[in-house]
Amino acid sequence: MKKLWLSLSLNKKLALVAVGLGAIALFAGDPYGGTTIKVNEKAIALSTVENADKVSVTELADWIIKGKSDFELIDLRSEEKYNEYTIPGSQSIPLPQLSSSDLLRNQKIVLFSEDDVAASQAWFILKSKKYKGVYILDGGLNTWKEKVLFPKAPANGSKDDLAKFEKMK
Amino acid sequence: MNAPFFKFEYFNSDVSLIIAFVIGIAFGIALEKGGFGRATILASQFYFTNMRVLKVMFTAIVTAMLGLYFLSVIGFVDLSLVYLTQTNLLPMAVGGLIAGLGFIIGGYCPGTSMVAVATGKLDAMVFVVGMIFGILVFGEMFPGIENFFNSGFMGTVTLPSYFNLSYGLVVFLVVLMAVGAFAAAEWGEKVMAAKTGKEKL
Amino acid sequence: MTSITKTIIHAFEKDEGHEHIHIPAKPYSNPYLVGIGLGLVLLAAFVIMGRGLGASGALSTIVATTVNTIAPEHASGNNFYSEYVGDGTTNPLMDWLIFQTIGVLVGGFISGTVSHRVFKGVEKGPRISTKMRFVYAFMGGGLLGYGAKLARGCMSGQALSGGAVLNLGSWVFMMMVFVGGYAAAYFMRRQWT
Repeated sequence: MKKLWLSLSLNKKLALVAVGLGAIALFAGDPYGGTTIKVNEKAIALSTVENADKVSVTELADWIIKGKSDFELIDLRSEEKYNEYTIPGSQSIPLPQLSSSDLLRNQKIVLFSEDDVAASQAWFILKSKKYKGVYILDGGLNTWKEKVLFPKAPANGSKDDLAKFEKMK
Repeated sequence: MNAPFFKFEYFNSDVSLIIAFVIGIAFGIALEKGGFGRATILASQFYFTNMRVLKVMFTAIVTAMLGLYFLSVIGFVDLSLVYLTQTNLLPMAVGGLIAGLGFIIGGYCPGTSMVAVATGKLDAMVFVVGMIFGILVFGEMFPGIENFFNSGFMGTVTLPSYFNLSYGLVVFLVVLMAVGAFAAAEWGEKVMAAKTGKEKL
Repeated sequence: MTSITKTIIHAFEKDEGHEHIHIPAKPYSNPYLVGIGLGLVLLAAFVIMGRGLGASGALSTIVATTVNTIAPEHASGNNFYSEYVGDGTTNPLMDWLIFQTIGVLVGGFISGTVSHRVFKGVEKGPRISTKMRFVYAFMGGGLLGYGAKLARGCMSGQALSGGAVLNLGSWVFMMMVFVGGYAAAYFMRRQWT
């Protein structure tokens, strides 16, 4: 081997070194250290037009009552708040820990926070990591409390809603 | 230690000017040693008689690319802080075409013309005057072409992100491409030398 | 060696008859080694400054500053000039690229002197006059100045520096430079060969 190496001209040696380094580069990994995300802003902006990524509180209440379990309900608030009160069936993943969570890309994920803000931020983070089924609870916990927990009976109050409310309790 | 040093404020911008000067000296020495201070050598690239330009340029790119890549992977350099020009696709393509024409007609590019001026070449001095004129024309025309200048904006895009390949893979492919180009260049030079019976410079 | 000597003699053929002591120039080194050297300089710039090298930018700054001195309103109304002149808080001539370019002049001179390659002359092929060479040099310079500004950089800034960081626009620029050069090479062959 050594003889073979020595017999090569300088240029060929340089070429071999270069190709060797290049080959190592194939396995050496991401030079950005994994903190960058590629965002297709157009796609993300477009997906907001349909409002397809929003879930209303009544819809969510419906799913819970029906016992739907094909989605992950994520409470983005701090653990203290989670322990105080949370929407039934949710798991606690405070926003700062979202990146290191073990949520899978093909899961249906419903995010909520106090209001829309943190949920929207989390939505963006997950979308840019190419998560497919990410949804924001429209209005967050505040609206949940308003419409589902302590609803003011609407003028033409529907029996359905109150019935749902009773079931929730 | 964190790199790039300037971005981590190891020194201020006045010192950076001194560093610029020193780096410039090294740059000038490398260019001159490479024979790039001579229009005849630069131009012979396009007649396949002397492929120095391609060899030096791509070797330099590969060296810097590999160096930057591995220093980033080990965490010494924060690659996200290294400056990346924005990409304006069509203006850069058209600008490249025009620059290429200028290269073969004028015989220099901006950096090499400086080296040639420093070694006394009169045509390089004329070239620099021409460049100043060209920049002036561009500046005066600017209001009219400003829209074109800003068209095709793609943000800061790298080859890996555009082609959706891993950075390491692109590094590998670039190395392969460069080595392939070198092999072709060596072969091309031999063929031309045999044809014309000339020694290359 | 003989071809280098021949070229040097050619460079003086249409000259005014200056006398020069003829010291044969040293031959050029292995291009790959030079390339590695250049690459290391570029790498140093990235590691120290977080930016690459450049050339056309320095000239642009000088042009813009001059225009601004002569006709300030015209310069400030023009987005190209005003960007180089800045907002008046810093001296635009205290610019990284300008200092780097001065360094290039010094470095080129040093290296050329050491290798006995500094002499007054005109680089051209044997089939063309000095006068025509100057005409072409001016034209080429004009095109290059214009093209480099349109592309936001030249070979040093875009092709070399941008190339090393795998910038898409830079690689497109670099490829088009080769296209343009090879396309026009046929028409310019009288100048060089």
